[in-house]
Amino acid sequence: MRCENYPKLPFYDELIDEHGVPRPTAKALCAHLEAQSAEELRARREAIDAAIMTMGISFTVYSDAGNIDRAWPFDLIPRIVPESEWKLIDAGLKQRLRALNMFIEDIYNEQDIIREGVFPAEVLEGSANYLTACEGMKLRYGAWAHICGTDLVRGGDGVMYVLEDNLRVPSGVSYMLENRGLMKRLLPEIFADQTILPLDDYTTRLYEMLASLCPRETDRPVIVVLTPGVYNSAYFEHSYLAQQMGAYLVEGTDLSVGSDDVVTMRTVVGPRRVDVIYRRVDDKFIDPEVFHKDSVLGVPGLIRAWRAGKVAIANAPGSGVADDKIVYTYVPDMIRFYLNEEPILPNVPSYLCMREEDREYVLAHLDELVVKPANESGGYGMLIGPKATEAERAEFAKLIIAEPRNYMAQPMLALSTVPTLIGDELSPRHVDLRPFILQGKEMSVTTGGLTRVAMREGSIVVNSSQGGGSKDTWIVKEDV
Amino acid sequence: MLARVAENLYWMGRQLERAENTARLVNATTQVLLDSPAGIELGWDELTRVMGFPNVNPSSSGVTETEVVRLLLLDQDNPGSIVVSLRHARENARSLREVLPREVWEQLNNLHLRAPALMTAALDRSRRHAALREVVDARLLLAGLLNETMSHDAAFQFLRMGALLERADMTSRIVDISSAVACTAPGGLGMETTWISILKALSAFQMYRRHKDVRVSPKPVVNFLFSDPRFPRAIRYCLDSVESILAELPAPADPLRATRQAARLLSKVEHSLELNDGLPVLIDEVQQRLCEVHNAIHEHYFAKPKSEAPEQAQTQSMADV
Repeated sequence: MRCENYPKLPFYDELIDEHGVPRPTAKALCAHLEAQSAEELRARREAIDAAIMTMGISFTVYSDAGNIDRAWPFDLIPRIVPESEWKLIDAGLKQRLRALNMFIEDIYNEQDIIREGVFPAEVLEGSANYLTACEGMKLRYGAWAHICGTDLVRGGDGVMYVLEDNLRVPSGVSYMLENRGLMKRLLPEIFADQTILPLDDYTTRLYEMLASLCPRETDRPVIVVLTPGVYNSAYFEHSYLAQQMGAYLVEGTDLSVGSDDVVTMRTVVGPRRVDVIYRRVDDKFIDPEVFHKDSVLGVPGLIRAWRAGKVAIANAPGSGVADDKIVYTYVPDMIRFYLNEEPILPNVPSYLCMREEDREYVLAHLDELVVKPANESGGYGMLIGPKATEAERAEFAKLIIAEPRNYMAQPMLALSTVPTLIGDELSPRHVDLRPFILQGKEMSVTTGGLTRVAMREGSIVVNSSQGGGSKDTWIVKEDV
Repeated sequence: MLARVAENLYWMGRQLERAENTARLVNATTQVLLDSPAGIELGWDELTRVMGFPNVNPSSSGVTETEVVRLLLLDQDNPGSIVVSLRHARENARSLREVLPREVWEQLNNLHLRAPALMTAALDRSRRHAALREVVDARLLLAGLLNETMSHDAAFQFLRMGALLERADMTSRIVDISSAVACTAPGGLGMETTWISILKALSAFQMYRRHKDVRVSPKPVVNFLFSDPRFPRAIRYCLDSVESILAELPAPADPLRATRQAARLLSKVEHSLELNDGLPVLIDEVQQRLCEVHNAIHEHYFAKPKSEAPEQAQTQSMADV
C-alpha cells in the first residue's frame, strides 16, 4: 500500500525510516498492507468498529452535556517495537519502579533521602498526595505501588524518555488486551508471518501478584476489585479485570469494617472476609473516616483495617506521593541513591518552577515550553506554550508566580509518529506508550503496552478523554 | 455471592423476561385484531390497563393503536417498554460482566443497540410480526447461552428466579387481556380464534393440544396457562421452579412460604371460572401474591440490614412490581 506516498515529516517515525523505507521489523506488515486494496482495508476497519460496539468496549466522557459512553477508538495499524530495544525498556521500567517503591517506604519512615540531601524536604511539604495516615507503615516486599503505568515517549532524537509514572490508579491495561484480541480476530493472517510476542498472561500475573499480598495463610485468598461504580470512566476496565481474574467486583457499599478491623463483603449468605483489595478509587475517597467525610465511594474504617494488617490494598494508600510531576524530576537521583545504579531510561529534561533560576527561564520561554501542574492527570490543566494564545500564556505566568511548587515545565517534545489510517490513506500521527509494571513478591512488565495516538493532525494530546485513540503494540523478534 | 450482584442478576432476569413477554403480548393483540370481524371493537386501551399504565387516560376513546404500541415498545419514559427493559437489562449486565459469560454480554449489548430501530419498524403493522419475533428470538438465544454456558450456580439461579417470577406475572396479564377481549365478542368467552392467538403468542398452542385438549375453549386454556405443571410458561410451572430454586438457597423460609401461598391460589382457578367476574378477581390475587414473593426475596437476600442504612430504598424501577 501507500507506504511510498507516506509523508516525510521532521519527526521520528516508528515504522518508516527517514528515507521512506520500512524499518526492518515493519517490513512484513508494510508488505501486507501493500497487498490490500482500499476497499479491503475499509471493510476491515468497519468490522473492527462493529466488533467494538458489540463487545461494548467503551469509556465515559464527562461533559456539560451529560456523560456519554463512547466506543473505544482503535486504529488498525500497529506500533512496532523491536525485541532488542524492548528488553532494555523492560529492565529500565523495573529499575524505576523498584526505586520509586523504596522512595515511598523511605518517605513514610526514616526519610534517609531527605537527610542525605538528595531530596528537598520542601517538595514533600507541598505535596498534596502525602498522607500522614501512612507514616510508620512497612509493607510486604517493600511494595506500595504494586501496579504502575509508566508513560514513555520517543523524541526527535530517537531516544525513549519517561514522561510520567502513574502510581495511583493507572488505567488502560484492559484496552491493551482488547486491542490485541481485536487484531487477532480481524487480521489473523498478519500474525502468521512473524514472531509477535504474546501478552495474554497479564491478568494471571496480576492475580498472582495480588494473591502474594494476602495477609492470611490461605490457598484461596478473597480478592476484590473496588470500583467507584458503573458511571466511572474506567468502569469497563474494572469489570474486565475482575472478570478475567475471577475476582469479585465490589463497590464501597458492599464492604464494611468490623470492630476487629476485618474487612467483609455483604453476600447473600452473610458477611465474608476480604483479603486483598485492588482498589480503583482514589486515595482521598477510600475511607470517609480519614479523608473526605462525604465520600460514598469508600469504606469507613478501611485505613484502620489496612494499618492493622488485616487487609492488603493495591496500590497502597499514599503511593501517590511519588506520582507528582515535581517528584518525578528526582527519580533519576532516587535510582542512584537507593540502587546505586545509573538510570536506564532517561527523564524528559524538566524545569522546576520552585527553583528561582528555572522559574525565570520558564517565564521567559513560555512560548516554547509545556507547563504541567504537579498533581493533575489526564492531560487536564496544562499549557502547551507554542500552541497557546498570548492571553493563555499570561494567565499561566500568573499561576506559576502564585504557586511555583505546583508547576514544572518541559521542552515541547517532537513526539514520534506511527502511520495511522485516516480515510483511505496512511498519515503520521503522534503516539506515546504506556507499559504496565507489577511489583509484589516478583516483578513483571507487560509485553509492550498501550499505544495511545493523537488522532488529530499535528496534535500531541493522546488522552482518550481528549480525542485520543489507540493502537495494538507489537514486540517483534528481529531476524538473526 | 455479593447481595448487590444477586439483586442485579434477579432484575436482569426480570427485565429480559419483561421485554420478551411484552413482544409476545403486542404480537398476540395484533393477531387478534386481524382476526376480528369488522365492527368488533378491540380496545387497545385494554392493553394499557392490563399492563398497568395509569398515565394513559382510560376514559379517552381516542387511544390509538399507534400510541399504545409506541408506549409498549419504544417509549423512553415507560419503565416497562421494550427498549427501556432492554436498556435496564443491559445496564445490569454491565455491572455483572465478571459473573456473566462474555457471549451473554455481547449478545445482550447487541440486542440493546438494535432495539430502537427494530421497535420503530414494529410500529408499522406489516413489519411488526417480524420485528417482535426478532426480540423474542434474541431473548431465547440469550436464555440458551445462559443455560448452556453458565454454571448453574447461585448467580444463575437468581437470574432464573427473576425471569420466572416475571413470566408468571406476564402470563397472568396475558390471560387477563385475552378474557377481556374475548368478553367483548358475541358469545362471551367463546371466541375461539382469540384464544388460539393467545396460545400461539405464548408458544403454547401445540403443547396445549397435545397435553390438554384438541378443542380450544376458554376454561381448559385458562386452566392450562395457570395450572399446568410441565409447560414452562404456565404459572404453576414457574412457581414450582422458583420453589425448587429457593430450596437450594440458604435459609429460604420466608420466600418459600410466600411462593407456596401463591401456588395454592392456582387450584382455585376452576372454581373461579364458574363465577361472574371470578377470573379478574383471581388474576388480581395472583398478581398480589407474586408481588409478595418478590418482597420476601428482596427482604431476605438483597436488602441491607435495617440498622445499617434505613434510607437506602429499592433503586430499581419497574412498572408496578
